[in-house]
Amino acid sequence: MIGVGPGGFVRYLLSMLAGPLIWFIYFSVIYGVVGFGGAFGFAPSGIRLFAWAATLAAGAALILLLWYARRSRASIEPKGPRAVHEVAGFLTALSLFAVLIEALALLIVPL
Amino acid sequence: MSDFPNALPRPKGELAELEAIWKLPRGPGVLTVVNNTYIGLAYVATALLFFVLAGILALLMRLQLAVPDNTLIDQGTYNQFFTMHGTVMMFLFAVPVVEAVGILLLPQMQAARDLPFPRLSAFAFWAYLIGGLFFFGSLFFGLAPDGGWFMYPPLTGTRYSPGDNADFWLVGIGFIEISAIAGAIEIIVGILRTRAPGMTLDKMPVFAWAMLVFAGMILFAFPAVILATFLLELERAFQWPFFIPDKGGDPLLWQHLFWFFGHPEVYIIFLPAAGMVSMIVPAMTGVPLVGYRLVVVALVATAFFSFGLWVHHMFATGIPELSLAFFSAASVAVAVPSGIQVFSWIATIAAGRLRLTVPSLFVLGFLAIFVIGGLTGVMVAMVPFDLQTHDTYFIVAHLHYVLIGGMVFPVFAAIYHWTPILSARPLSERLGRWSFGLLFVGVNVTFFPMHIVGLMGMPRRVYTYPEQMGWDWPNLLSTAGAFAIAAGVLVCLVDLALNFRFTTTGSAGNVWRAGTLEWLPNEVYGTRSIPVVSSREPLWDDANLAEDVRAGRYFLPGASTGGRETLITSPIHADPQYLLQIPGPSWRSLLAAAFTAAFFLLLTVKLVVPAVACGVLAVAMIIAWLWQTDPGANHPPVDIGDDLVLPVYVTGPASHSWWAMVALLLVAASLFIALFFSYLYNWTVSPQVWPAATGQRLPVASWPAASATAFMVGSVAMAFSGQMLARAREYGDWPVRLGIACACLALAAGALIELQGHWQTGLRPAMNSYGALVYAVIAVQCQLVAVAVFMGLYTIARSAAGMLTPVRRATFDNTLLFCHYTVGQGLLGLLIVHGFPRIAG
Repeated sequence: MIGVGPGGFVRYLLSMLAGPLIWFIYFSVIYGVVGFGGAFGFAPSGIRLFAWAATLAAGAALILLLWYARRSRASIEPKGPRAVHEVAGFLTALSLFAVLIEALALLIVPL
Repeated sequence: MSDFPNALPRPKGELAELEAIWKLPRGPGVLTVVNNTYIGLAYVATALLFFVLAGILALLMRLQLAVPDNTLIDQGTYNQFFTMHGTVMMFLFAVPVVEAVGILLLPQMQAARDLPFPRLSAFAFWAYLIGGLFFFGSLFFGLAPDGGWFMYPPLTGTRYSPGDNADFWLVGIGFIEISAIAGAIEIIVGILRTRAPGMTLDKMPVFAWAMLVFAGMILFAFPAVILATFLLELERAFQWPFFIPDKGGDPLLWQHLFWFFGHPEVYIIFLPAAGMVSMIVPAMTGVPLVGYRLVVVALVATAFFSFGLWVHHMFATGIPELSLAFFSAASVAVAVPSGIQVFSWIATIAAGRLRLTVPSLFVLGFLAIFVIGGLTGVMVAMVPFDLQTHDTYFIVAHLHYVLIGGMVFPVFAAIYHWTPILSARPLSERLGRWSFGLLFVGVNVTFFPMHIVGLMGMPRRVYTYPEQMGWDWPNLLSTAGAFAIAAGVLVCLVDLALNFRFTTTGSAGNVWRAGTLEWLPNEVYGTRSIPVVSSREPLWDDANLAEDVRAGRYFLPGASTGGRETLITSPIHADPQYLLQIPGPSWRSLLAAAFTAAFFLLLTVKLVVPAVACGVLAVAMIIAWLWQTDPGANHPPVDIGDDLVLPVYVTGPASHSWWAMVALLLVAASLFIALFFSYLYNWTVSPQVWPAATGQRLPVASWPAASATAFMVGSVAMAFSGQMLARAREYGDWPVRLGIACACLALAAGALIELQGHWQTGLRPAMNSYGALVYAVIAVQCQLVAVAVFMGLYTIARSAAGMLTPVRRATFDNTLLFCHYTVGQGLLGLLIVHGFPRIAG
């Protein structure tokens, strides 16, 4: 019996967690930019623009990931990895939801 | 031809040999036991002891608050009580109890004979027990911490807390968290590498998923608070001003670090409890969990989102509104995965027919109480509402609904559910119902009025209140409820005393007709043979599975190597890879834990010489313990059945120890990231103490260049040693040892050059927060280098003893990995400390 080595495991892990990782990076970036920008007196409009750009980039990356997951679903073997793939799809969708919720905050809260 | 891996009848004496190998030591030797069942059970019992002790403190506090202007407990003692109550509940009960249940049940759920590092489990348990008892004992000497379970500076700085009380918290909790991390690493490797053949990730019990997520969260969350305690202790002991505003520090840095740990901590506690519920509900309804994959998604998503919520504990600290909005939104978003799990449990109950047993009652109670706590959580996630209720009893009500509903009720459900695995008879249904009734009524009577009294304005952490405030009746009601909770706990303890009869030979068995592997007949060695898993509820799908496993028809029905062993499988498909030889009972892990605990505690009370002596003894015990590991291929490959011949030793990335080392390095990386955050944070709040403003001279570029060169030489020397080890038969052992020695020297030199580089500029750590942070980065790097040098010398010693060969090289591979990481972090540290002030000022 041949198992999946650590390299294969890391690949599966990253493919499963890609969505939440994108959300986490996005969240860190917008929080960091608002925090640092506020501390150093950057123009509010610039901070907001950057946050919107980050939101759009994260949203686009997640949508792309969802599209890719759906497209490549058929080629995945039916046992274990397919489940990982499905879990990855759901996680990406949830991450997209979280990004949209953050965008709502951007929309309604003044800087 | 048989469909099973092994044919019957099994050879005579095979079973007796298995029993003899795994039996419990007698007499005082019983303390050396490392089997997961015994350690897990002792762990659970100890956690329950701390639960009761912290509960007694809560009762005393409730007595004090029962009537206005009460003088039963003075203010100072009350401060110690609420600090100890919160600290003990969170650090000595909530996290350890779920870790304990994991150690107890995971091997059975995965049909493994034990976890891969049983002595590490024993070490973690003893460290927790000894450290916890001493920590709690500080209460009897007036030395208990009194700054709240979150220990905010400046209250906990030397100015306002000059005694040893705060040090007990900082050192004690830091130590106990190291024990928790040890347990988490054990759990991660255990789940990923010791599952029964065929138990792919998709067939893994939800509890195992929950524990995997839990342990992963510990790796990333706990380092933040370990760093925070380290920094505050440095500030208290040596006046390094990380949190003192006059010198460019900021008390809010503590809050950021603490809550970066503290909020995930809530989910660290909740997720395993949710995993328990996801196991109990199918067993009680007789149908598989509805939406298994969605529940897994919810567990993983909750873990991620929980790291984006920490600022919602800091809404009232003056953070920019847009930042608050991001955390408010994330706090709402996390409700979605939690909701997925709740709907999954409800759907499973609806799909099957729920038997109203005691575990079911506790699960239903959990659903009701946790949902109420979750809803008030969404309320306090709204910034305007939080600003009104911040630091009031509304928050106390919310957090107790979440923690008791989300964690205590599932743990009680688990006690009643899984007792038949370990006990000759199940617990009493009658007493269990009484316990549930008292707890359910008690929790609501105690904590619901706190919502009201909180909205009426009663602040937290006050030891008394005046009569005219109108807070009398809700407080009296809460006190009455607290005694109902105590009665509920007492009934459960009486039930355990009357009915729990521990056995490894004749347990009550699968009384609930559950479908997962922990309900297989288990003896002291685990299951007789290791089954092939083809579904999520194997016992439901194969009626004869228990009998076939007991008869020894499946894999590894005996002790192929003549010692303790378990099957290591691949992390995704769970294909058998090799046979792991597991170490047996030993005094070493117990003594190592005792001396480590003594080192920390003696250091706390500033008895430096005895502390150092205990530290040396602890290191000696750890060396003695490790010396017996890494046995090499001391046995030819063994046939475990089905003509499957497995090696008994592997090294490198295939080895379980390599995975543990990677997990440890993730902890180190998390700690370093938290330190980098601290550096950036203090720079944003106090740029006036950074070199650009103060004119502080930076070391000339040749210093960091020399340090970086030394680090890289260390890495190259280790890589050279690896090459030489592979050719040791050709060139002998001396190039290997020489390479490791050179690497040790180079690493030490790199750290010392960096230290000297800053020292000669006149920068001192006590000058301001910039100096403190620069030396903190160096101190953390020096710690890593010290461990790397220790590992290097240990590896040389093994080489000299003839225990390092081109094949037997797991020790070397781990040292290599650690050294490379140390160099990587060192280079990054240099880049930050020297590059950042030059670029940003």
